[in-house]
Amino acid sequence: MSLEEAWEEALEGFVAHRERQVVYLNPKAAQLLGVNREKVLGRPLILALRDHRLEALALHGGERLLEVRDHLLLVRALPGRLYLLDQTEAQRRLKDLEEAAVTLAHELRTPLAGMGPLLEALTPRTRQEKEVLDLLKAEVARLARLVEGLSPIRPGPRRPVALEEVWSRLEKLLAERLKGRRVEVHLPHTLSTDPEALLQILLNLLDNALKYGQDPIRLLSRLEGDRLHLEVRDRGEALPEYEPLFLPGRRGSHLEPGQGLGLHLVRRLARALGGEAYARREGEENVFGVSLPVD
Amino acid sequence: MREALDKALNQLIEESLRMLSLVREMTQKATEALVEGDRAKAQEVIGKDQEVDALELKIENEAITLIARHQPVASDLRLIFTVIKALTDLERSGDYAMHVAEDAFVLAQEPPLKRYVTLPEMGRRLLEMMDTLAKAVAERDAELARQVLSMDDQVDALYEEVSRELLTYMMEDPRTITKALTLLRVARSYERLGDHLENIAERVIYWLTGEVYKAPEDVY
Repeated sequence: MSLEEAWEEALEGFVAHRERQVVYLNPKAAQLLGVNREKVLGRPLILALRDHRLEALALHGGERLLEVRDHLLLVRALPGRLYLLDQTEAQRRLKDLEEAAVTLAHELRTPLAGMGPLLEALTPRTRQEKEVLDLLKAEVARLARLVEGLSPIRPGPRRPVALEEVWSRLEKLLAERLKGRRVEVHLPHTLSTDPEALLQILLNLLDNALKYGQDPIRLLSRLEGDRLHLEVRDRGEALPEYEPLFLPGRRGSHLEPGQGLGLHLVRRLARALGGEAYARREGEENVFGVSLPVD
Repeated sequence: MREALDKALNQLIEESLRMLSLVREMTQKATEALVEGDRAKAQEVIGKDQEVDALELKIENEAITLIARHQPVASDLRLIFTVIKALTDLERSGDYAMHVAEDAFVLAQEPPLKRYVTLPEMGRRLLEMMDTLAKAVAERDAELARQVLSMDDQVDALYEEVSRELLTYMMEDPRTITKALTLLRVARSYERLGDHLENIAERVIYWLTGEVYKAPEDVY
């Protein structure tokens, strides 16, 4: 079987191009792009792709999630080659899952809110009873945090926040864990945002870096166009993949405690503030960050 | 000489498809900004209008140069005029997408009047129209261009539906008037956008078949 025959049967869309002309496209690509194969072969790329963003990606290379006509495509572009992976169904399932989680969190919140005070009202008579009660309280608190992480997010009022000021709060919160670690901080900017949401974002990112990353850890802000990027960078080993870390339930390591909601929450908070969360490898560093709009 | 002309003509078509794709992106993002109440997204769309305007100028200049240099006739000339006429409609389409974004920006400052159902549906139909139009141009298929015309009828019907619905809101509770009027303007922008796409589809039919096609309601 020739390679071309294999591509004919592939479940991934594939477009080969040379000098802006379509040289080959497999049936899956034709289906995903909604084109008639015979009519676009040998013709300019834009005629087959019919999307300026997709064309730019094909010509300049890179990887991006793009909504092209009715499909959500994960597009990877290498010189002369364009791979299209349909993510429509996966994304829909993820959305359903998120909605189910929000509903569940809503239902759990009321009984949980009642349990805390009830446990406080109990007086243990023996040491064993006290141990059990403490354990129960800790578990209820853990459940409450879990529910909080899954609940819909509404950012609080915005005010100008000097990022240095957020760092001094973080330093106090993480004092114990920062001892003996090398953390470099460069936060010269001021941003109009919800300070509590921002604190939570940086706390989660820093918590992850302290747990899974390697020193030196760098916490920095930089302005790029009309977006302020806040990043936690560490020298940890390259990870096999980055994007899935933002899915609920993903944990960096099975040895450490946690529900795998940290980065998921970071992304939801960032989006609630009108921004986005991202993770990637840059040189020798793992970069976890958010970009937030600057008014 | 013929080869150079063909190349230049193809380039005109390609540039026009890029412009159409840009307007499509704006329309999609404007609708998302409206539904999600996302002001950042609305601003992004407003910024893109300059790109559309710049593309219009660029393509128009290329078309004029082409006429001066090659003195095309028959179907070649028809194509060039199709592009030049369609450019104006495309540019206006971009303006309407921007107007939707501007209104979405204002609406996002307060809780929505209601859950938007028909308006995003209008936006979705427009995207479908643009996809079909792009396919008609890329594959030189006049039949697809005719389909675009009937799709615009659906957009018009949705516009009627939204207008009536918003009118009942205003009659029931005068406090809703400000928001309802803004929403009415959004619906109007969508409806106008659809009309411009219809115009382009008529031009495409003319280019591909030579027949001057006017949608029935345009004939008086």
